[in-house]
Amino acid sequence: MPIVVNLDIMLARRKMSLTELSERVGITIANMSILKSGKAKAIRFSTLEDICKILDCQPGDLLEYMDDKSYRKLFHK
Amino acid sequence: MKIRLKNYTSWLAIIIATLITGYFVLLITGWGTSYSMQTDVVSGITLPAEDTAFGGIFKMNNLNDSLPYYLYKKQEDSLAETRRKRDLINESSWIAEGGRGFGYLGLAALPLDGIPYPEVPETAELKIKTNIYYLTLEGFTLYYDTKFFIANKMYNLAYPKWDVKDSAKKNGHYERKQIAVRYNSKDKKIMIPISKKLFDFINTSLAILPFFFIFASIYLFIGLPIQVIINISKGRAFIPKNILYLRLVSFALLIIVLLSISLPYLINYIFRAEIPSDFKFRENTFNYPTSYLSQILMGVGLFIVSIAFQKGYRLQQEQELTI
Repeated sequence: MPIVVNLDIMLARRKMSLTELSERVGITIANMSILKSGKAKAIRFSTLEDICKILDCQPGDLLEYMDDKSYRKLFHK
Repeated sequence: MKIRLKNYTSWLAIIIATLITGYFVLLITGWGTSYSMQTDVVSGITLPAEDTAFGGIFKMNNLNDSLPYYLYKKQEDSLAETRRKRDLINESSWIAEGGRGFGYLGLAALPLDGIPYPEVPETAELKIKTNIYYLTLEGFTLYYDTKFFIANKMYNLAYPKWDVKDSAKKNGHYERKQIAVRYNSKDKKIMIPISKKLFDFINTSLAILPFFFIFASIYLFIGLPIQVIINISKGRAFIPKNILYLRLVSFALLIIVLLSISLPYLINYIFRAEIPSDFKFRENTFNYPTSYLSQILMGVGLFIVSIAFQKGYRLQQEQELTI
């Protein structure tokens, strides 16, 4: 899927763990892992809003579009 | 408004719907049914003066009217009994052994010219002679005025040969020809002679086959639907296994219908060298598929349900992976 979720980059910048974020957003750690690993099919605006609020960032900081070639290079290297 | 059907399944659905509609239209209008009576042509067939060549099937009782009543009655009863036994032999409907059947196909063993089993008294000297073994095929009738008989240990047909034939009348006489098969006129079965070895092999197979079909039917039509219901009751409706089970059941139903309709024609094709052209197979052929209509509808219905379940599974997957 060519939409990449850069959650781990934002977590590193804000020095926050995935567990802490999941507790503050109110989503299970399993679902948060799915989002972080790029396996999620969709994200609700309400969830995106909560994550941006807690990490103090824009949706564009979390979501990035890649073309198929770059995406395959990133995930299959 | 232009309608474009890019998806091949849409074209397939239209073709199938057209074929089914066409079939029912033809069925309703009566095309494909045959009629064995010609009501507007008078036909006369001269019976043979000497019946020895036709095994006595045309023989008339020529009794001496001047005999005393008790002698006349005795002769009449004796002739009637002879005729009855001859008709029983020609009818070929009694079975000495075997007689196992599986739908269209069956087995039978009976003597060529022995006394029928139910007729043999316990103290009689005459016993059933050596049996001949047959493979039976159901659904055959003889053309109008054609008769089957056994004479000189051979299977024969007496068929009309038309000498004069015009629009108002036709006249003819009977001719005889030998055929390789026996005919059970009561049950409308052709009986093809086979060896005892083959008879025993098929007999054993037909004994085992029903059990296999019973177990398969129980698994497919009871076991799998129960498994689907159990999965749904556990809250696991849209899972790949349910989709698979529903498709298995629908395909099984449709395959059974297909085999039931086509297998007799396939078997006839295999034995086409043995079956004389004087026999016609399954009049009103178009009526046969309608007897399977409920199974066809059930099979198609279950397949549609499986497609719905597949869509449900995809939606559920998306829902589960929506954060």
